[in-house]
Amino acid sequence: MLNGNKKRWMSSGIAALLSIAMLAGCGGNSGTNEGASGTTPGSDKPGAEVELYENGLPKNEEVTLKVGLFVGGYGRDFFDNAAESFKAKYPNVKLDITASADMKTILSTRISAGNDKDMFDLFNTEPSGGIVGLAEAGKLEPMDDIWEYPLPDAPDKKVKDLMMPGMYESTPLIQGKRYEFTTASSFGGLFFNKKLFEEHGWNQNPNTWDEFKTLLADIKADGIAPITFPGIHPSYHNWAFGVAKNFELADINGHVDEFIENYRTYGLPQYTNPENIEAWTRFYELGKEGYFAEGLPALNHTQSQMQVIQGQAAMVSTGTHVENEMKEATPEDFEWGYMAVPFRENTDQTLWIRSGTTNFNYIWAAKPDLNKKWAKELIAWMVTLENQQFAAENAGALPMRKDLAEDPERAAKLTSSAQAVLKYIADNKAQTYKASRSISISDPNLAQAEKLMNENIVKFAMGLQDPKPILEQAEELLKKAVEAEKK
Amino acid sequence: MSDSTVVKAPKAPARKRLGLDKANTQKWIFLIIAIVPPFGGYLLFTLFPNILSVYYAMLDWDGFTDATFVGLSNFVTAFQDKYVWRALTHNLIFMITVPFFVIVISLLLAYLITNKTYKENKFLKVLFFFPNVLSTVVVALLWAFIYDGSYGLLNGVLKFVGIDVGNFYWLGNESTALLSIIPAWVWGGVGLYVIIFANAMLGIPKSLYEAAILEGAGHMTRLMKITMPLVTPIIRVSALFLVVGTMKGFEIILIMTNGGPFGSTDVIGLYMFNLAFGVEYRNYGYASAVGMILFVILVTAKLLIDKFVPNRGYEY
Repeated sequence: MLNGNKKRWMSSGIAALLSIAMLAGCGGNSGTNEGASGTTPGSDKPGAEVELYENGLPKNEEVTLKVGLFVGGYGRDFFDNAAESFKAKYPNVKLDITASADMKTILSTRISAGNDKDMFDLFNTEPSGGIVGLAEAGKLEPMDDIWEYPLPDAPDKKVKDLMMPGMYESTPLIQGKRYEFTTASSFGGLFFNKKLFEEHGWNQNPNTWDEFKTLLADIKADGIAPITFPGIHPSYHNWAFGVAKNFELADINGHVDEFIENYRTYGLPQYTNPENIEAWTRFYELGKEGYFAEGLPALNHTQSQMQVIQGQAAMVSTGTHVENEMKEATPEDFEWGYMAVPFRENTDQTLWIRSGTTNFNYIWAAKPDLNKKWAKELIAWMVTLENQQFAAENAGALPMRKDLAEDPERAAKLTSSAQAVLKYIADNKAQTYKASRSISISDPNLAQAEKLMNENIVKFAMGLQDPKPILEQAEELLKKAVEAEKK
Repeated sequence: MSDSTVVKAPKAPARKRLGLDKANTQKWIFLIIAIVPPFGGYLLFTLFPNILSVYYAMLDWDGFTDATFVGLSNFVTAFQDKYVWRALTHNLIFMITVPFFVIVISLLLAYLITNKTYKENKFLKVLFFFPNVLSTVVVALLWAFIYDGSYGLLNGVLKFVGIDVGNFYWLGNESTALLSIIPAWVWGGVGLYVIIFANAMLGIPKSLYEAAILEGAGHMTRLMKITMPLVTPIIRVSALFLVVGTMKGFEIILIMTNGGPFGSTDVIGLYMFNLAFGVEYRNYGYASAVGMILFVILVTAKLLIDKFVPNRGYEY
């Protein structure tokens, strides 16, 4: 038996050890644990010949890449599949994956913590507030060089050669450099139940604004709400009616390049330029005609998409991810159709389609060079035909490889939504584009301007509010924000 | 305690001193182990970030680039920000209604559970507590479905009793959304307070009730003259927790309406969250300034409760 003193000393000692262990646990990965995100030299013998992979990276140095994976409509299987084959090919590379639907908040917190070691090497969504400020501050790695990489499965071709047309050109430039690279995009527009359209004989490809309005009138006459979107998250309207439509109008008016540059740099007027007023006025007109679903202000995005599956609404404003997102609730024989909202007046004019924000990859600049190189290799790996096919078939992702989209045998295996979008782009004179800003503004007046617009989108859709006075108020707030930013 | 043990054990004076030293050291080790981790955690993870927020509130800072010191400018902007005032108005409505209903309903249910000998009492306790086991997300989604226009339970029940409101979306209408959130919030909060109040009531000596019954006191007299006065300190603390929780909380609103429709359910916590973690906008400095305003309001609410809710304790 232990005497009282010994017992007390032992219990005190155990408690002290536990406390130290707890404090050590709180200490994170600081210290000598390079494996968390770093490189471990395998052979340091002087004069030893270093074996290299075909991409020029050493086989003997172990690397662990920390990956922040946003799990959205496409899920995570497509990434896990690519990651497995990548690790099999490059066994010295390990992936430490943190996957979450709330990756934006996780990123923001990690970035604000200012600990580069704790930060992800690679992440596939923007943090809250966007990436412009990060890129300007040198926190992100430029990715222009990935476009020049040889494709892992077609070494005689560069990445740029086999990517979908327009992807390189539409990748946003910040201070003249590209900081993002998408491997599985989502294009926006109106998605519908193809069979329902066939049953009612509705026009599945209205070419002009007038034809589109006729279609909406036909649908409404048949007792179905023509369009829905989640009023709880009104920015979803953007997939079909957003900035891409302003670009379309600017293109029709013959000054799209100037317009895009103005948009990217917050050149005034933003809210009250003629194209923006026109776009919102058209949206409001549809609202006054009662073309948006009843109860839309109370719907979340799943509910709005369910309305289409259940035949309560004919079309939903969303992206190609809808099919994978709703696969558990969709009947087996359900086939998704797709159309963009045509603002154009004739078929000679170009339709502009929103390229989404899904799976745009970013690399943290303050990481070891070898990690950044492997992160770029992983991104290039995700655009191999095999990985693209897997993502397209299983997640409904739009392939980024044009040789996949152009191969009828491979294209036939895509999900119905992806096929519908690709067919639509092939059948129409269409341009995809990702709208983005190249400067950041932190003045609170900008937040108020955006809030003002966000809260009124649903009012416009319900035909309850003329957009012009709201646009003017938003412009005034933005003007103050821009002026404050100049000081 | 431990000192007395040490005094008894050694016989020789030298051993006695050694024992006392050891006991003293052990006492300090114990105190350090017991106090430092929780107090250190409080300092590090609660107090320090809160104090830091005061400094952040004076910065124009997006969280990762160099911050600019802007003095009180964020506070000036916040006081001129109509969304801050609108959100605070909504908070005030929730702050008055939610704690009131939670306390009244909880007291009623707790009184029935403790004073009525229903055979299902144990089951009822579990049933009332059940919403507290559910996460806020589940509670919010559950009520969002209840209020759904097409398939919602509420419209179904109303139709069943002869009130046909058609496909009315309770959360999609500016005039009903805010009021519709209150029952969900109350439902999610009642269970915990039923248990707290029931236990407080069970702690009241039976002899007080027996004496009152002998003197002819009825249910209402016993409730108002014995039960209520003796549970008042618990009600007071509960009111404080509820007021502070309602003022700070926004999760249920984030899920049910995200502040809509048209901002009619926006609250200060949600606004602050969106300022700090918005999709297109991020300004930790301004969000911190709004947070400081919330802090001042909470301290004021606490002082008001201290002043106006009686803090009389009764010994029995």
